[in-house]
Amino acid sequence: MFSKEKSKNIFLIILITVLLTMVIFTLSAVAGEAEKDLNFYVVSHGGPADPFWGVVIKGVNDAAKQFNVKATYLGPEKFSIQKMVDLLESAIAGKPDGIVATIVNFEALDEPLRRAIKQGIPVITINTSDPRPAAEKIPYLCFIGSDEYLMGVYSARRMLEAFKPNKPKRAVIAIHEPGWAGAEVRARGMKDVYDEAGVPSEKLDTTVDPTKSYEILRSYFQKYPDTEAINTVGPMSAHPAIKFLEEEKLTNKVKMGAEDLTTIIVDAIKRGTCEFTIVQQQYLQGYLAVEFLSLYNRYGLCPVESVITGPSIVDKNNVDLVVKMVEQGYQ
Amino acid sequence: MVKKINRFMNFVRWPEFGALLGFLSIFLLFSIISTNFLSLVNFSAVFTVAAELGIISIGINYLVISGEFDLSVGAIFAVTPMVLALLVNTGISPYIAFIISLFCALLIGFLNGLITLRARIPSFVTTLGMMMFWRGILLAVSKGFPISYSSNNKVLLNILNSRVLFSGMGVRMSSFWYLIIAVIFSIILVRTRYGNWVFATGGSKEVAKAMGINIERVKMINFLISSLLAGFAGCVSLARFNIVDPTLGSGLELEALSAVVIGGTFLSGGYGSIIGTFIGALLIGMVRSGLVLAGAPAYWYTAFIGIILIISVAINAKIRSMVLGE
Amino acid sequence: MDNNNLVVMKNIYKKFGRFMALKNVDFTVPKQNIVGLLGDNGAGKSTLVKILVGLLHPLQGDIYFEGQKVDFKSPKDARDHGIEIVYQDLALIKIMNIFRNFFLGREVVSKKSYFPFLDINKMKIVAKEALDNIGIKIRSSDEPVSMLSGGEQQAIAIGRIYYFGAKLLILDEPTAALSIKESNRVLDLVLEAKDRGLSIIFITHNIHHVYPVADKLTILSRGEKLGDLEKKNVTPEYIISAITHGKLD
Repeated sequence: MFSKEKSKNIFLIILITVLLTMVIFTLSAVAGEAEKDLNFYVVSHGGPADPFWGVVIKGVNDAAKQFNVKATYLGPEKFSIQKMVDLLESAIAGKPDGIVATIVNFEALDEPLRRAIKQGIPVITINTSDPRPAAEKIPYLCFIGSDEYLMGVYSARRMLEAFKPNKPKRAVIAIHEPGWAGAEVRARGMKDVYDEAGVPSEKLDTTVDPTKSYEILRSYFQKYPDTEAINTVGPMSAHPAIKFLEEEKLTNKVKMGAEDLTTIIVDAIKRGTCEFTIVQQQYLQGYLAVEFLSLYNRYGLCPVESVITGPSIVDKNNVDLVVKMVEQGYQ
Repeated sequence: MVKKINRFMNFVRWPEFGALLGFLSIFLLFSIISTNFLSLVNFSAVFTVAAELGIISIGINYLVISGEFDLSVGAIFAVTPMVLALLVNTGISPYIAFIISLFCALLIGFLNGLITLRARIPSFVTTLGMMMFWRGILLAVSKGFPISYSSNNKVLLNILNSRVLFSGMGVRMSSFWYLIIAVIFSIILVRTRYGNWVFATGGSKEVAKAMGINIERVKMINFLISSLLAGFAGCVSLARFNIVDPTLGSGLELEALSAVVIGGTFLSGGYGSIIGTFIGALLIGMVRSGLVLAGAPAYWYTAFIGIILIISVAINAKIRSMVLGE
Repeated sequence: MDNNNLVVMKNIYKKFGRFMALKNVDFTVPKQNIVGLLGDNGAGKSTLVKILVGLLHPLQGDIYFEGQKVDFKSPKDARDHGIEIVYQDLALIKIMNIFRNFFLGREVVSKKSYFPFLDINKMKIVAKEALDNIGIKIRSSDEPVSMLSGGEQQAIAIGRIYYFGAKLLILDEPTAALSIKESNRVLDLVLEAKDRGLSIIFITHNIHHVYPVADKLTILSRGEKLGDLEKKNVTPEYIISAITHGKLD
């Protein structure tokens, strides 16, 4: 019917029109929501792919609905301080009524956040705080999160308890995101406890790639077959470790501890592969941040200093209670 | 009527046409959707992001026009400021450290060129391998931690990237560097003999060689340009954050290539424009910012940039066939 | 020494590994002459010419250009002396525009500023005029070369050569892919080049391509020269037979 040249043109025009329509449609749908009276941005270093942040996002969205505000979660696809700051800059340009941020690196975030605060935008931090003394740190309203150091301490102590009256011959601390300050602080908590108890311990970078993680663990255990304890700092290091222990049939010999909560970790606790996990109830971090910003904007009320959401231990004893919450995305 | 169409065709033939069209339509789109889009703060945010991406893209553009690729620019973007920060932290003057770090960038580019041209390995492969190598070095040296620039002498950093206009809200030095670099390199490409050789080498290296052009020298110079600009952009970025973290710039090589393609450069070589790339990087910066202001959650970004990239490539392919009269 | 001959090649031998590509070949191109270099595929025509312009080096033999002994190091060296080769597909870059192609490698620089910027206006005008001179009318020299027909593209390559003052033009199968009308146009250009004082070496394996314009015909067969013939003394059929049978009778 049409010549080859003409049908190629028509196809191209249709393709472009379809794509453009998709873009316009979605954008207007999204922007249409901006009719609420308060608009917040949650800027975090965690991306959409990490199940940990999925729970925080649920907290943010639930609170937004509850308090009738608009809250948008922004995070880079892959961990990148630079991209997070870029997102923050755009968020500030949007003149929001409040910003929630994670202080993944205080140097990089110092200037933009101070600028936002100076412009009158209230800032609350969650999950990772500014470690500097009060005189130097960013003057945000408050911090909502868990005490990372304590999480590490609880992890190591609970692990040692599982071995009583003996001690594990060796412990490895698997970190999937080296450079993330939170992981490093937790690891320090663990190491301090292990050092005090006289247990040799070492950090291991297992990367965020599950396949690589597995291989790295396998090489480590080949090198140090007397390792009896694995501590992981998050689901991305925990899941490959669970798989590794079960497939290599090491579950009787090696005890594992996790941090944060997912269905996989919960099942592993039930099966006995994983001894315990330390939770920081990150749902609260997202939910409370939005709640506090709403209350602050409307009535000028906000808690001060820190609101601590963890650590809290989940093991075989209380796992059933927690299971349902994981499935629904609250834990 | 025919005359009007012909006049229009003259515009279409500009390599920048597609990029300009795309830029204006998306600009319009976001202006309508978000109230805060048309503001100085937003423009400076867009320019801040676009400047760092754009400077790298301009460098890569030279290589692509001459028929080669450089996938190591993201790594160079991180390695160069890391060298700068490490040197300054040991007490060396920031200016000297800056020169040394740029020299390191040039060295990496030289290696890229040497391996590609002497060992006759496709540049795609060479620079991919180099990228992985330098990322590994970054991780090993930094052990995963960000490296902080700890000198009290901030003059160098201020020259590179401080905010200059409209106290606190405004435009950064990087925007000016971006503009200057775009103008200089555009002039070199379009108005010098060397520029003609770059086009020729990419258009057909056999013909260029037959006409007496030293294609190996042209390509080598372009490898150096690419790595130098990537290194410079990295230092500009350091000036903004005061830290270098090992993940800095990862994925940037693909973004830079996207800016280049959106700007109208053919991946097959021989055709392209620096101004187009300038617009392309600005467009990418604008999309990121526009999506934030429109309230789109984080999941959407790569998808959107992907769609825009595909549309650009489709438009450019159409322009290509019109230009080549196929 | 020799005032009538532009090019004299004597006793040329060339070996590729163990394969003798050229054996004791003499080749002469008189001034203002069109010489057809003929032979079947693999006869050594391209090799001989590559040796002349410095792309290859002979095992043995001497080359004289304009009476002087020469040994060109590269095609650029040869071009600087006024020898140009026009390959069928290797003359122009399709994606670049006409004036950039015209001045490729010999770009015109504006004398006005410190930096050697291109004098784009001058190049556009000169290119357009040069083409006009040889009868090719174009709308603007800013258009990509791909917009022109095969014959017109060939003409650009040739017109470029006059402009830069060549003395010897080497054409390698210039009309092989062209239509009859376009072939004729190229042949007209070749005759015009001769009128302007150039000599032309016209390489082809098909006598019909060159017969109309040739003055002299040199035939190669399997690396050796069969002979030199004056066009007016022979017919195309005679040439074909000579090439096919590998000898003159």
